[in-house]
Amino acid sequence: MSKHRAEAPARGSRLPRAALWSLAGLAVVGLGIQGTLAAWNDTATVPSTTVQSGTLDITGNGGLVGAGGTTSLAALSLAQAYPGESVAATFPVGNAGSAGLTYTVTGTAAGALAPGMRYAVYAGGSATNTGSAAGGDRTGTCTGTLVSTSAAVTLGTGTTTVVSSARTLAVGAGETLCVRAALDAAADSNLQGTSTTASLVLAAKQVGAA
Amino acid sequence: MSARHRRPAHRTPLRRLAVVVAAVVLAVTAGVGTAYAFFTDSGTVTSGTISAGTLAAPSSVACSTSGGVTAVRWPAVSPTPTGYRVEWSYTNGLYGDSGTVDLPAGTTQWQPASGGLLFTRTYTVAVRTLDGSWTSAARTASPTIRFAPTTGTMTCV
Repeated sequence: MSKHRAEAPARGSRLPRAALWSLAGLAVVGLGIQGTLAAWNDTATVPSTTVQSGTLDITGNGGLVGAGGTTSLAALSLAQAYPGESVAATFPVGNAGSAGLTYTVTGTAAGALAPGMRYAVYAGGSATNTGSAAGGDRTGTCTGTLVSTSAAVTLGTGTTTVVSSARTLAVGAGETLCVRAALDAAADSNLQGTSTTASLVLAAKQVGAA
Repeated sequence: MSARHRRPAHRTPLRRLAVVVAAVVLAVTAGVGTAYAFFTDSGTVTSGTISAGTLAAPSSVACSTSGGVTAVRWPAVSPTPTGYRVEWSYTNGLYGDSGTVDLPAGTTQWQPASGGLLFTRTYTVAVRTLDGSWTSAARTASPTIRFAPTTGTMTCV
């Protein structure tokens, strides 16, 4: 009898099956709602340090500071030149940037006399000029190491490589280039009375650049 | 049979495709590595003006006698050329002849007799200056010269 009485309440407390399914559904919904609960949060900003780019700056003849530029080498002038006469002049090249650089030199020339002129570039030397215009025997010479592709480079309106082997300048370093310009002893006679100007372009790249 | 020699049973076409894709990605990545930019700068150094002179011809040419020698003379030219060129010629009816004589720097006269002139003829002489490969215009104020083989003398007419 006690066994019978003990089983009766258990039978009576059992929830209907539909109610169980409803509870299960609520539980699932409850789990979903959990995701929308507000949570504490906080943010903090770490100030960055200054990021500054380096500079690549080749200078020449006491100028050309900053990007690009043109400077005149007035000492490389020759008036009323005759075949075989020449003039030499030096100018400094420097690295004013914050990175090591390498540079090469190309050249152009304008004017009808350009085909008769021959140029040579030397590194680390000095220039000497002798002779006189009256004597028709002006001679310019450079000491140092020949760095141009030859001792008689001809320039024209098209770009010509003058120094093909890249030269390296560390930060703050510099060197002297000496340029010799000569009127070829075999210059054509019809070049008489003509003139020319030459331009040397110093093209610098960051060390390691292809 | 060792595992090394066993053909992998799991190498499916899909796996082969994955390997190929990985290889391509690696190749592209390696190529991108060379595309990094480097800083550059350039500057131009321009020369002053270089001008060529013009060879001056002798300001005058004359046949004259000095010190008992008859010769064609001209004044020195400045700047000093490397030399002078004397051009002589004659015409006598149907006949004619001409020649050129180059003389070194510092020379300011030429004796026609030494140039092989023959018989009694009238010569015209012009002088140019030379410098390297350059030749000046000719000074055309030419003298007339008569050479007399019978006496071996030359006179200026």
